[in-house]
Amino acid sequence: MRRASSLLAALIGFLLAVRGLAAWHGRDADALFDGELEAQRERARAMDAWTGADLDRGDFSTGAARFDGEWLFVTRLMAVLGYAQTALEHPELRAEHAARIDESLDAMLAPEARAFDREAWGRDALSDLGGVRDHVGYLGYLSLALAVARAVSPTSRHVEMEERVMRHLVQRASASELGLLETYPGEVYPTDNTTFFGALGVHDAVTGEDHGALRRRLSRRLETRYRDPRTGLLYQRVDPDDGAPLDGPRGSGTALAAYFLSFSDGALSLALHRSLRAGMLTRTLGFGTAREYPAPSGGWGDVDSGPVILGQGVSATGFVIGLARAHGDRETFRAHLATASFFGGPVDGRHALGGPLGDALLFALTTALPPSRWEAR
Amino acid sequence: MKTGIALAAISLVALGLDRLLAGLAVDTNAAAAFLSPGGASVDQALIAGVFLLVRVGGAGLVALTAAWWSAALVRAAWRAARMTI
Repeated sequence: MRRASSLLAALIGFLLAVRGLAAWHGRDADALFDGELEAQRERARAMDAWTGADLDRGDFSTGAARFDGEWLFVTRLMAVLGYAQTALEHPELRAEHAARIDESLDAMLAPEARAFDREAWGRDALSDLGGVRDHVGYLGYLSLALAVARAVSPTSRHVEMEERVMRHLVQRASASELGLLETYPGEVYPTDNTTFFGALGVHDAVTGEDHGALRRRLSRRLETRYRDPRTGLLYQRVDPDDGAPLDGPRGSGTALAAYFLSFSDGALSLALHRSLRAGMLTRTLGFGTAREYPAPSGGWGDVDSGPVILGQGVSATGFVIGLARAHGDRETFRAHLATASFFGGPVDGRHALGGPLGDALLFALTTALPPSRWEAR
Repeated sequence: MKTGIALAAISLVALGLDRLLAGLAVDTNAAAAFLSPGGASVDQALIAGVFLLVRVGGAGLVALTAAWWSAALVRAAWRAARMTI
Protein backbone atom coordinates (compact mmCIF):
# COMPACT_ATOMS: atom_id res chain seq x y z
CA MET A 1 0.00 0.00 0.00
CA ARG A 2 2.77 2.38 1.03
CA ARG A 3 4.85 1.50 -2.04
CA ALA A 4 1.85 1.80 -4.35
CA SER A 5 0.91 5.23 -3.02
CA SER A 6 4.52 6.43 -3.45
CA LEU A 7 4.53 5.23 -7.05
CA LEU A 8 1.18 6.88 -7.70
CA ALA A 9 2.44 10.13 -6.20
CA ALA A 10 5.56 9.96 -8.37
CA LEU A 11 3.41 9.45 -11.47
CA ILE A 12 1.12 12.33 -10.57
CA GLY A 13 4.14 14.55 -9.84
CA PHE A 14 5.70 13.63 -13.20
CA LEU A 15 2.50 14.35 -15.16
CA LEU A 16 1.84 17.61 -13.34
CA ALA A 17 5.40 18.75 -14.04
CA VAL A 18 4.99 18.06 -17.76
CA ARG A 19 1.66 19.91 -17.68
CA GLY A 20 3.42 22.77 -15.90
CA LEU A 21 6.11 22.85 -18.59
CA ALA A 22 3.41 23.14 -21.24
CA ALA A 23 1.81 26.01 -19.33
CA TRP A 24 5.22 27.70 -19.01
CA HIS A 25 5.98 27.37 -22.71
CA GLY A 26 2.51 28.58 -23.61
CA ARG A 27 2.63 31.53 -21.22
CA ASP A 28 2.63 34.12 -24.04
CA ALA A 29 -0.30 32.44 -25.74
CA ASP A 30 -3.09 34.49 -24.21
CA ALA A 31 -1.37 37.81 -24.90
CA LEU A 32 -0.82 36.81 -28.53
CA PHE A 33 -4.26 35.30 -28.93
CA ASP A 34 -5.84 38.48 -27.56
CA GLY A 35 -3.67 40.55 -29.90
CA GLU A 36 -1.95 42.57 -27.19
CA LEU A 37 0.14 45.32 -28.71
CA GLU A 38 3.37 44.58 -26.84
CA ALA A 39 3.27 40.86 -27.61
CA GLN A 40 2.83 41.58 -31.31
CA ARG A 41 5.45 44.31 -31.24
CA GLU A 42 8.01 41.87 -29.87
CA ARG A 43 7.36 39.51 -32.77
CA ALA A 44 7.56 42.38 -35.25
CA ARG A 45 10.87 43.60 -33.80
CA ALA A 46 12.31 40.09 -34.09
CA MET A 47 11.17 40.03 -37.73
CA ASP A 48 12.81 43.42 -38.34
CA ALA A 49 16.19 41.79 -37.79
CA TRP A 50 15.55 39.37 -40.67
CA THR A 51 13.86 41.98 -42.89
CA GLY A 52 16.90 44.21 -42.52
CA ALA A 53 19.35 41.36 -43.08
CA ASP A 54 20.77 40.71 -46.51
CA LEU A 55 19.23 37.25 -46.87
CA ASP A 56 19.79 35.14 -49.95
CA ARG A 57 19.27 31.54 -51.07
CA GLY A 58 22.49 30.53 -49.34
CA ASP A 59 20.89 31.20 -45.95
CA PHE A 60 18.56 28.22 -46.40
CA SER A 61 20.65 25.40 -47.89
CA THR A 62 17.90 22.82 -48.18
CA GLY A 63 20.05 20.89 -50.62
CA ALA A 64 17.98 21.99 -53.65
CA ALA A 65 18.31 25.45 -55.20
CA ARG A 66 14.59 25.60 -56.00
CA PHE A 67 13.57 24.97 -52.41
CA ASP A 68 16.15 27.47 -51.14
CA GLY A 69 14.54 30.08 -53.37
CA GLU A 70 11.04 29.08 -52.30
CA TRP A 71 11.94 29.31 -48.61
CA LEU A 72 13.52 32.73 -49.01
CA PHE A 73 10.45 33.92 -50.91
CA VAL A 74 8.00 32.49 -48.35
CA THR A 75 10.04 34.12 -45.56
CA ARG A 76 9.38 37.50 -47.22
CA LEU A 77 5.69 36.69 -47.76
CA MET A 78 5.17 35.70 -44.13
CA ALA A 79 6.93 38.88 -43.03
CA VAL A 80 4.49 40.91 -45.15
CA LEU A 81 1.50 39.03 -43.75
CA GLY A 82 2.71 39.49 -40.18
CA TYR A 83 3.37 43.21 -40.63
CA ALA A 84 0.01 43.69 -42.38
CA GLN A 85 -2.02 41.76 -39.82
CA THR A 86 -0.46 43.63 -36.90
CA ALA A 87 -0.85 46.98 -38.66
CA LEU A 88 -4.53 46.33 -39.23
CA GLU A 89 -5.02 45.19 -35.64
CA HIS A 90 -3.08 48.15 -34.22
CA PRO A 91 -3.39 51.22 -36.46
CA GLU A 92 -0.56 52.92 -34.51
CA LEU A 93 1.82 50.42 -36.17
CA ARG A 94 0.55 51.15 -39.65
CA ALA A 95 3.12 53.71 -40.83
CA GLU A 96 6.11 51.77 -39.51
CA HIS A 97 4.87 48.45 -40.81
CA ALA A 98 3.85 49.85 -44.20
CA ALA A 99 7.51 50.79 -44.71
CA ARG A 100 8.62 47.28 -43.73
CA ILE A 101 6.04 45.79 -46.09
CA ASP A 102 7.33 47.89 -48.99
CA GLU A 103 10.87 46.80 -48.17
CA SER A 104 9.83 43.13 -48.17
CA LEU A 105 7.85 43.52 -51.40
CA ASP A 106 10.88 45.09 -53.10
CA ALA A 107 12.84 42.00 -52.09
CA MET A 108 10.08 39.69 -53.36
CA LEU A 109 10.04 41.48 -56.71
CA ALA A 110 13.82 41.46 -57.19
CA PRO A 111 15.15 39.33 -60.08
CA GLU A 112 17.00 37.01 -57.66
CA ALA A 113 13.74 36.35 -55.77
CA ARG A 114 12.11 35.31 -59.04
CA ALA A 115 14.98 32.99 -59.96
CA PHE A 116 13.52 29.77 -58.51
CA ASP A 117 10.38 30.21 -60.62
CA ARG A 118 12.29 31.36 -63.70
CA GLU A 119 14.56 28.31 -63.53
CA ALA A 120 11.53 26.00 -63.45
CA TRP A 121 9.56 27.68 -66.22
CA GLY A 122 12.45 28.88 -68.35
CA ARG A 123 10.64 32.23 -68.43
CA ASP A 124 10.40 35.15 -66.06
CA ALA A 125 7.06 35.42 -64.25
CA LEU A 126 6.77 39.19 -64.56
CA SER A 127 7.60 39.10 -68.28
CA ASP A 128 4.88 36.47 -68.67
CA LEU A 129 2.12 38.60 -67.12
CA GLY A 130 -0.84 38.52 -69.51
CA GLY A 131 0.52 35.38 -71.17
CA VAL A 132 -0.48 31.73 -70.98
CA ARG A 133 1.86 30.50 -68.23
CA ASP A 134 0.43 30.39 -64.73
CA HIS A 135 3.53 30.79 -62.48
CA VAL A 136 1.28 30.41 -59.43
CA GLY A 137 4.21 29.24 -57.30
CA TYR A 138 5.59 32.77 -57.57
CA LEU A 139 2.66 34.96 -58.65
CA GLY A 140 0.09 33.38 -56.30
CA TYR A 141 2.19 34.06 -53.21
CA LEU A 142 3.17 37.47 -54.56
CA SER A 143 -0.49 38.35 -55.18
CA LEU A 144 -1.37 37.71 -51.54
CA ALA A 145 1.52 39.87 -50.33
CA LEU A 146 0.57 42.67 -52.73
CA ALA A 147 -3.13 42.50 -51.82
CA VAL A 148 -2.60 42.71 -48.05
CA ALA A 149 -0.06 45.50 -48.63
CA ARG A 150 -2.78 47.40 -50.46
CA ALA A 151 -5.17 46.76 -47.59
CA VAL A 152 -2.68 48.43 -45.23
CA SER A 153 -1.67 51.20 -47.57
CA PRO A 154 -4.15 51.84 -50.43
CA THR A 155 -1.76 54.29 -52.09
CA SER A 156 1.28 52.00 -51.86
CA ARG A 157 3.77 52.25 -54.72
CA HIS A 158 3.08 48.56 -55.36
CA VAL A 159 -0.60 49.07 -56.27
CA GLU A 160 0.04 48.99 -60.01
CA MET A 161 1.93 45.70 -59.71
CA GLU A 162 -0.91 44.29 -57.59
CA GLU A 163 -3.37 45.11 -60.37
CA ARG A 164 -1.18 43.54 -63.05
CA VAL A 165 -0.57 40.33 -61.12
CA MET A 166 -4.22 40.01 -60.15
CA ARG A 167 -5.38 40.56 -63.74
CA HIS A 168 -3.07 37.81 -64.96
CA LEU A 169 -4.19 35.29 -62.34
CA VAL A 170 -7.88 36.10 -62.77
CA GLN A 171 -7.53 35.60 -66.51
CA ARG A 172 -5.69 32.29 -66.06
CA ALA A 173 -8.10 31.01 -63.38
CA SER A 174 -11.15 31.94 -65.46
CA ALA A 175 -9.76 29.87 -68.32
CA SER A 176 -8.82 26.89 -66.16
CA GLU A 177 -11.06 23.84 -66.40
CA LEU A 178 -9.45 22.32 -63.32
CA GLY A 179 -10.03 25.46 -61.28
CA LEU A 180 -6.35 25.30 -60.38
CA LEU A 181 -3.22 26.83 -61.86
CA GLU A 182 0.20 25.31 -62.37
CA THR A 183 2.94 26.01 -59.87
CA TYR A 184 5.59 24.77 -62.29
CA PRO A 185 5.12 23.19 -65.72
CA GLY A 186 3.13 19.99 -65.19
CA GLU A 187 2.88 20.48 -61.42
CA VAL A 188 -0.37 21.48 -59.70
CA TYR A 189 -0.68 21.94 -55.94
CA PRO A 190 -4.03 23.02 -54.44
CA THR A 191 -2.30 24.74 -51.51
CA ASP A 192 -0.28 27.06 -53.78
CA ASN A 193 -3.53 28.07 -55.50
CA THR A 194 -5.14 29.11 -52.23
CA THR A 195 -2.67 32.01 -52.00
CA PHE A 196 -4.35 33.51 -55.05
CA PHE A 197 -7.86 32.66 -53.77
CA GLY A 198 -7.01 34.52 -50.56
CA ALA A 199 -5.51 37.43 -52.47
CA LEU A 200 -8.57 37.79 -54.70
CA GLY A 201 -10.83 38.13 -51.67
CA VAL A 202 -8.64 40.85 -50.18
CA HIS A 203 -8.39 42.56 -53.59
CA ASP A 204 -12.18 42.68 -53.93
CA ALA A 205 -12.61 43.97 -50.39
CA VAL A 206 -10.03 46.72 -50.90
CA THR A 207 -10.98 47.84 -54.41
CA GLY A 208 -14.72 47.21 -54.39
CA GLU A 209 -14.38 45.06 -57.52
CA ASP A 210 -16.53 41.95 -57.67
CA HIS A 211 -15.00 38.61 -58.60
CA GLY A 212 -17.62 36.83 -56.52
CA ALA A 213 -18.64 34.40 -59.25
CA LEU A 214 -15.06 33.33 -59.93
CA ARG A 215 -14.26 33.07 -56.22
CA ARG A 216 -17.32 30.91 -55.62
CA ARG A 217 -16.42 28.66 -58.54
CA LEU A 218 -12.83 28.24 -57.35
CA SER A 219 -13.89 27.53 -53.76
CA ARG A 220 -16.52 25.04 -54.89
CA ARG A 221 -14.01 23.19 -57.09
CA LEU A 222 -11.56 23.06 -54.23
CA GLU A 223 -14.22 21.72 -51.91
CA THR A 224 -15.73 19.14 -54.23
CA ARG A 225 -12.75 17.91 -56.26
CA TYR A 226 -9.65 18.38 -54.21
CA ARG A 227 -10.81 17.49 -50.69
CA ASP A 228 -10.46 13.88 -49.66
CA PRO A 229 -14.03 12.68 -48.90
CA ARG A 230 -12.89 10.49 -45.99
CA THR A 231 -10.78 13.00 -44.07
CA GLY A 232 -11.93 16.36 -45.46
CA LEU A 233 -8.27 17.29 -46.04
CA LEU A 234 -6.86 18.71 -49.26
CA TYR A 235 -4.81 16.58 -51.63
CA GLN A 236 -1.23 17.74 -51.70
CA ARG A 237 -0.74 17.39 -55.45
CA VAL A 238 -3.08 16.70 -58.38
CA ASP A 239 -2.75 15.67 -62.01
CA PRO A 240 -2.53 18.72 -64.32
CA ASP A 241 -4.58 16.92 -67.00
CA ASP A 242 -7.60 15.65 -65.10
CA GLY A 243 -7.18 16.86 -61.50
CA ALA A 244 -6.89 13.32 -60.11
CA PRO A 245 -4.94 13.16 -56.84
CA LEU A 246 -1.24 12.32 -57.26
CA ASP A 247 -0.52 12.50 -53.53
CA GLY A 248 -2.66 11.78 -50.51
CA PRO A 249 -4.32 14.31 -48.22
CA ARG A 250 -1.81 15.98 -45.91
CA GLY A 251 -1.89 17.97 -42.69
CA SER A 252 0.68 20.63 -43.58
CA GLY A 253 -0.85 21.50 -46.96
CA THR A 254 -4.38 21.58 -45.60
CA ALA A 255 -3.48 23.75 -42.60
CA LEU A 256 -1.52 26.24 -44.71
CA ALA A 257 -4.27 26.36 -47.33
CA ALA A 258 -6.89 26.95 -44.65
CA TYR A 259 -4.83 29.89 -43.37
CA PHE A 260 -4.59 31.39 -46.87
CA LEU A 261 -8.31 30.83 -47.42
CA SER A 262 -9.09 32.72 -44.22
CA PHE A 263 -8.36 35.89 -46.24
CA SER A 264 -11.27 35.28 -48.59
CA ASP A 265 -13.47 32.32 -47.73
CA GLY A 266 -13.94 32.03 -43.98
CA ALA A 267 -16.46 29.21 -44.27
CA LEU A 268 -14.18 26.92 -46.27
CA SER A 269 -11.22 27.80 -44.06
CA LEU A 270 -13.26 26.88 -40.99
CA ALA A 271 -14.44 23.64 -42.59
CA LEU A 272 -10.81 22.62 -43.22
CA HIS A 273 -9.89 23.60 -39.66
CA ARG A 274 -12.69 21.36 -38.39
CA SER A 275 -11.48 18.47 -40.54
CA LEU A 276 -8.01 18.88 -39.05
CA ARG A 277 -9.44 19.01 -35.53
CA ALA A 278 -11.55 15.93 -36.15
CA GLY A 279 -8.78 13.58 -37.21
CA MET A 280 -5.34 15.16 -37.10
CA LEU A 281 -4.83 17.10 -33.87
CA THR A 282 -3.61 15.59 -30.64
CA ARG A 283 -3.19 17.23 -27.25
CA THR A 284 -0.91 15.57 -24.71
CA LEU A 285 -0.52 17.14 -21.26
CA GLY A 286 -0.94 20.63 -22.67
CA PHE A 287 1.25 20.18 -25.77
CA GLY A 288 -0.57 20.20 -29.11
CA THR A 289 0.61 18.46 -32.27
CA ALA A 290 -0.82 17.70 -35.71
CA ARG A 291 -0.39 14.58 -37.82
CA GLU A 292 1.10 15.01 -41.28
CA TYR A 293 -0.61 11.94 -42.77
CA PRO A 294 -4.09 10.84 -41.71
CA ALA A 295 -4.14 7.57 -39.77
CA PRO A 296 -3.45 4.81 -40.51
CA SER A 297 -1.07 6.00 -43.24
CA GLY A 298 2.35 7.40 -42.35
CA GLY A 299 5.61 8.64 -43.82
CA TRP A 300 8.87 10.37 -43.04
CA GLY A 301 7.91 13.74 -44.41
CA ASP A 302 9.45 15.98 -47.04
CA VAL A 303 10.50 19.56 -47.60
CA ASP A 304 6.90 20.77 -47.09
CA SER A 305 6.09 18.81 -43.94
CA GLY A 306 9.46 19.13 -42.20
CA PRO A 307 10.46 16.24 -39.97
CA VAL A 308 7.64 13.84 -39.05
CA ILE A 309 8.15 12.34 -35.60
CA LEU A 310 5.82 9.58 -34.41
CA GLY A 311 3.38 10.64 -37.11
CA GLN A 312 3.33 14.29 -35.95
CA GLY A 313 4.48 16.87 -38.48
CA VAL A 314 6.52 19.94 -37.56
CA SER A 315 5.00 22.18 -40.27
CA ALA A 316 1.42 21.00 -39.70
CA THR A 317 1.75 21.57 -35.94
CA GLY A 318 2.96 25.12 -36.55
CA PHE A 319 0.48 26.06 -39.30
CA VAL A 320 -2.44 25.14 -37.03
CA ILE A 321 -1.48 28.10 -34.80
CA GLY A 322 -2.65 30.52 -37.50
CA LEU A 323 -5.88 28.66 -38.04
CA ALA A 324 -6.59 28.52 -34.32
CA ARG A 325 -6.21 32.27 -33.99
CA ALA A 326 -8.20 33.03 -37.13
CA HIS A 327 -11.10 30.88 -35.92
CA GLY A 328 -11.05 31.82 -32.24
CA ASP A 329 -9.83 28.41 -31.01
CA ARG A 330 -7.92 29.51 -27.91
CA GLU A 331 -7.18 26.06 -26.48
CA THR A 332 -5.66 24.77 -29.72
CA PHE A 333 -3.69 28.00 -30.10
CA ARG A 334 -2.28 27.67 -26.60
CA ALA A 335 -1.38 23.99 -26.97
CA HIS A 336 0.31 24.37 -30.35
CA LEU A 337 2.17 27.51 -29.30
CA ALA A 338 3.45 25.59 -26.26
CA THR A 339 4.86 22.91 -28.57
CA ALA A 340 6.36 25.49 -30.94
CA SER A 341 7.94 27.33 -28.01
CA PHE A 342 9.25 24.17 -26.39
CA PHE A 343 11.01 22.92 -29.52
CA GLY A 344 11.60 26.35 -31.07
CA GLY A 345 13.23 27.97 -28.05
CA PRO A 346 12.02 31.58 -28.18
CA VAL A 347 14.52 34.33 -27.33
CA ASP A 348 13.06 37.85 -27.49
CA GLY A 349 10.65 36.97 -30.28
CA ARG A 350 13.18 34.98 -32.33
CA HIS A 351 13.60 31.21 -32.06
CA ALA A 352 16.65 29.07 -31.43
CA LEU A 353 15.45 26.54 -33.97
CA GLY A 354 13.41 28.92 -36.12
CA GLY A 355 15.80 30.71 -38.43
CA PRO A 356 14.39 33.30 -40.84
CA LEU A 357 11.61 31.06 -42.14
CA GLY A 358 10.54 29.75 -38.74
CA ASP A 359 10.52 33.22 -37.21
CA ALA A 360 8.58 34.65 -40.16
CA LEU A 361 6.02 31.85 -40.09
CA LEU A 362 5.43 32.24 -36.38
CA PHE A 363 5.14 36.02 -36.79
CA ALA A 364 2.42 35.61 -39.42
CA LEU A 365 0.63 32.69 -37.78
CA THR A 366 0.48 34.06 -34.24
CA THR A 367 -0.98 37.31 -35.57
CA ALA A 368 -3.49 35.81 -38.04
CA LEU A 369 -6.75 37.75 -38.22
CA PRO A 370 -10.27 36.33 -38.23
CA PRO A 371 -11.80 36.13 -41.73
CA SER A 372 -14.36 38.79 -40.79
CA ARG A 373 -11.54 41.37 -40.49
CA TRP A 374 -10.73 40.92 -44.17
CA GLU A 375 -14.32 40.74 -45.36
CA ALA A 376 -15.25 43.86 -43.43
CA ARG A 377 -12.69 46.02 -45.17
CA MET B 1 16.91 13.45 0.33
CA LYS B 2 20.35 13.79 -1.25
CA THR B 3 19.00 12.34 -4.52
CA GLY B 4 16.16 14.88 -4.58
CA ILE B 5 18.49 17.81 -3.97
CA ALA B 6 20.92 16.55 -6.60
CA LEU B 7 18.10 16.17 -9.13
CA ALA B 8 16.84 19.67 -8.39
CA ALA B 9 20.36 21.10 -8.71
CA ILE B 10 21.01 19.35 -12.04
CA SER B 11 17.61 20.53 -13.31
CA LEU B 12 18.50 24.13 -12.46
CA VAL B 13 21.86 23.82 -14.23
CA ALA B 14 20.09 22.34 -17.28
CA LEU B 15 17.62 25.24 -17.31
CA GLY B 16 20.47 27.76 -17.18
CA LEU B 17 22.37 25.93 -19.91
CA ASP B 18 19.18 25.79 -21.98
CA ARG B 19 18.84 29.58 -21.86
CA LEU B 20 22.49 30.04 -22.80
CA LEU B 21 22.27 27.60 -25.72
CA ALA B 22 19.03 29.16 -27.01
CA GLY B 23 20.78 32.55 -27.25
CA LEU B 24 23.80 30.97 -28.93
CA ALA B 25 21.54 29.10 -31.38
CA VAL B 26 19.83 32.35 -32.40
CA ASP B 27 23.18 34.13 -32.84
CA THR B 28 24.61 31.35 -35.02
CA ASN B 29 21.37 30.55 -36.92
CA ALA B 30 21.63 26.96 -35.71
CA ALA B 31 18.08 26.46 -37.02
CA ALA B 32 19.68 25.69 -40.38
CA ALA B 33 20.76 22.33 -38.96
CA PHE B 34 17.20 21.49 -38.03
CA LEU B 35 15.38 22.86 -41.07
CA SER B 36 17.93 21.88 -43.71
CA PRO B 37 20.37 19.31 -42.33
CA GLY B 38 22.19 18.99 -45.65
CA GLY B 39 23.36 22.57 -45.74
CA ALA B 40 24.25 23.37 -42.14
CA SER B 41 27.80 23.83 -40.87
CA VAL B 42 29.26 21.53 -38.23
CA ASP B 43 29.02 24.33 -35.63
CA GLN B 44 25.34 24.91 -36.38
CA ALA B 45 24.57 21.20 -36.25
CA LEU B 46 26.44 20.80 -32.97
CA ILE B 47 24.71 23.75 -31.30
CA ALA B 48 21.26 22.68 -32.54
CA GLY B 49 21.87 19.10 -31.38
CA VAL B 50 23.13 20.09 -27.94
CA PHE B 51 20.28 22.60 -27.57
CA LEU B 52 17.65 19.97 -28.33
CA LEU B 53 19.35 17.43 -26.08
CA VAL B 54 19.52 19.88 -23.18
CA ARG B 55 15.97 21.09 -23.74
CA VAL B 56 14.38 17.64 -23.89
CA GLY B 57 16.73 16.20 -21.28
CA GLY B 58 16.20 19.21 -19.00
CA ALA B 59 12.44 18.88 -19.27
CA GLY B 60 12.75 15.19 -18.43
CA LEU B 61 14.90 16.04 -15.43
CA VAL B 62 12.39 18.61 -14.17
CA ALA B 63 9.61 16.03 -14.45
CA LEU B 64 11.73 13.38 -12.72
CA THR B 65 12.58 15.80 -9.92
CA ALA B 66 8.90 16.52 -9.42
CA ALA B 67 8.17 12.78 -9.40
CA TRP B 68 10.92 12.09 -6.84
CA TRP B 69 9.77 14.85 -4.50
CA SER B 70 6.12 13.80 -4.81
CA ALA B 71 7.01 10.24 -3.83
CA ALA B 72 9.26 11.51 -1.00
CA LEU B 73 6.41 13.64 0.37
CA VAL B 74 4.05 10.65 0.38
CA ARG B 75 6.67 8.48 2.08
CA ALA B 76 7.17 11.18 4.72
CA ALA B 77 3.41 11.38 5.23
CA TRP B 78 3.25 7.60 5.74
CA ARG B 79 6.06 7.78 8.33
CA ALA B 80 4.33 10.61 10.14
CA ALA B 81 1.05 8.69 10.16
CA ARG B 82 2.74 5.55 11.53
CA MET B 83 4.40 7.54 14.32
CA THR B 84 1.07 9.15 15.23
CA ILE B 85 -0.62 5.75 15.41
